[in-house]
Amino acid sequence: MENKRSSGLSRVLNGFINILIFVSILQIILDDLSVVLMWDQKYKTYLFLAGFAIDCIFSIEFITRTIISIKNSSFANYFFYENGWIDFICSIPLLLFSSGPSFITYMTSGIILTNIFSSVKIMRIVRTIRISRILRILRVLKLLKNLQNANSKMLQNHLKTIMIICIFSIIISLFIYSYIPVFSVQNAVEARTQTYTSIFLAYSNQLLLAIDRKDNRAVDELVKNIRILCFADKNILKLEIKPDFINNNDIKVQNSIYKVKDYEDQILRSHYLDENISSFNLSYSVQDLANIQIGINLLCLFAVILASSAYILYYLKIFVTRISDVIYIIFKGIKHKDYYYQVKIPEHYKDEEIFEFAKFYNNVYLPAKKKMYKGKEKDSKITIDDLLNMDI
Amino acid sequence: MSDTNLQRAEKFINHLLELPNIRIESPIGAESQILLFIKNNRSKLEASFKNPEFFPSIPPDQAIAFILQSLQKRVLESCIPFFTKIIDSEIDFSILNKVHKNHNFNVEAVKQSYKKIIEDMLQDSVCRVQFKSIYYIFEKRYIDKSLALIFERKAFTYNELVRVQKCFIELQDYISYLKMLLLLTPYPHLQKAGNKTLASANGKDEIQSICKLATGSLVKEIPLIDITECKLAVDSNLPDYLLENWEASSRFLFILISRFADYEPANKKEKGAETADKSWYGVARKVAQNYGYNKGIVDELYLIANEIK
Repeated sequence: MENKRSSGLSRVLNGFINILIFVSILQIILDDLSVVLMWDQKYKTYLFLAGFAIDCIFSIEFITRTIISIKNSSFANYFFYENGWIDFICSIPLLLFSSGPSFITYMTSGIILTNIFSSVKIMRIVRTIRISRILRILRVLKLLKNLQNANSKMLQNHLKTIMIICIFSIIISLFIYSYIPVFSVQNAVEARTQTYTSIFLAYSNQLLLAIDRKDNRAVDELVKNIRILCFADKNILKLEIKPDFINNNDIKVQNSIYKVKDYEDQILRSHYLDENISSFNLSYSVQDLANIQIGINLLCLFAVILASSAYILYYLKIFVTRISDVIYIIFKGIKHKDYYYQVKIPEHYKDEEIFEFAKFYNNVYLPAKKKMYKGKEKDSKITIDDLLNMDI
Repeated sequence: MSDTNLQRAEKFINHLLELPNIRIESPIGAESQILLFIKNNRSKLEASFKNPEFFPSIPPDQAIAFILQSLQKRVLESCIPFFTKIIDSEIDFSILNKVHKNHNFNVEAVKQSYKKIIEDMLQDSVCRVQFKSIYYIFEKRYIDKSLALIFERKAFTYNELVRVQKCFIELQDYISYLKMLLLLTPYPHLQKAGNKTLASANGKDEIQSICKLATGSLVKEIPLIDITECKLAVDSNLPDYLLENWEASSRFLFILISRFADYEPANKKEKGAETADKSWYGVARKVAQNYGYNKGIVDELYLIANEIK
């Protein structure tokens, strides 16, 4: 009774984890899309919190499984042969280096960090390997057992190996891409900062000269030019002249030169930067650069999903019809005395080694078996156990 | 008391006939399974039958006799109406007039003698077992389907059945003709040559002499049909190398009977495997010489196996 209850609970928990795996993949996609499509702040917050909760649940699950396997002296088996390492990659590092610190930052300052422009290298690495969450999909392969003959252990192991190779190739490519200076988004951000610094230093100097000359017209003209520049550059969000700078002069200059309305609500705090450049306070967006990085991440994620789906829907069928089914039929023919089904040999693949083997089974083994059992009685389909609980 | 034991035997048989593996079998197939079960587990059954829930008041041998009696009753109750219906509705006996143009057959009388002889054969336990294949062949309408394809292809088997056997009749007539022959094929199992039956005969001489005897006996039993049909039906129990060249129908029926002797209604299509039919013919092609199948006919049936649906 106790065992039944615990196996029922285990089934419910496994079902929950399987659903959560799909939810987590959806969360990664929506989380990235919410940034690119500039969704309302509250949705971004929900998605961020959902990501943190998912990482927590998977971490708890990994720790629980680890404790149980250690108790059963089977940790090595769990970790290396039963997807334990995948459970690990998809949980603890993400919680410790990505969603955990972001959650603390959010709780203390209300800012959602995305780590794209983090100056801390490890945070950027973690951001890159967030895609590795897709590895969780490998754990639900066993759900495919109702599809074709996917309950074949050999099929599941082969499919898992192929998908691991595919996913890791994409992750490593993404990782290398992020660290090639030419493609580095971080470098692009630094270049943008330098450009703005140069431009606004020059403007600042001109402004100082005009003020020194007490040339009101020149000052107005300069402010007008700066405002035109701000309008032309979509990345400039806010430009102010420092109040102390204005107070020190007799010339009247408007404090706020330019501001995009409600940009704080539309852009994540970590996707715009504030710089003090001489007499200016400048806020500028790096959302476009974040979008490039997110776009690449999403591209990789979709590539992984597409490849996984193709393997599951297409390669699985090929493997089943051309390998596992053939072995299954031959094994049954060897094992059971009365089993005489021949292997179906597809015309186009008849020269493959496995079908050569199947030809031998069809044309030599089965006829020999038939001759061997000629005149011998078949086994009865009724056993003495069928009389158990019989009441006449 | 005997009555109660017979009722118990009936309940025992009912229980076995309702087992999932047995329920899907034909009545004769189910009987064969039950007989095999009793034979293989006789000592265990005898011990069990002494228990109060079975037959405590009679010796185990008598209990088994009751069971066999009850089983035979059940099988006959299902089989006799099945074959009577086949004779009445599926076979056109008037084709005999087309096959033998100088004869005038009394179709109704032929039907009646068929019914009688079939009932006699079904009453015999050894002969009844041979009806397992025949039951399935009729149930699956296998002759109708396979012959339609053979006549469409006009290849080896068609040539054998029509030209070699010199039986120039239309497809539907040939179907009826083969069905007529098929119903009589278990007849030699009623015959004995000395102590030997067809099943226990050793060597081709003994087999041939039993069949010769059976043909003569069958002609006497149904004088209304021609000796050709009696010989073709009886010789359907003989392998290819013991048949005369013209006996194509016997060659064909010998293969069908062998095929359905191995037929398992429970067998479903397996993924990655050929169908049960195709697999059977695939193996039969390779063992044709050992089992006495005509290679050309088996090869053709192998080619059309997947189309016989």
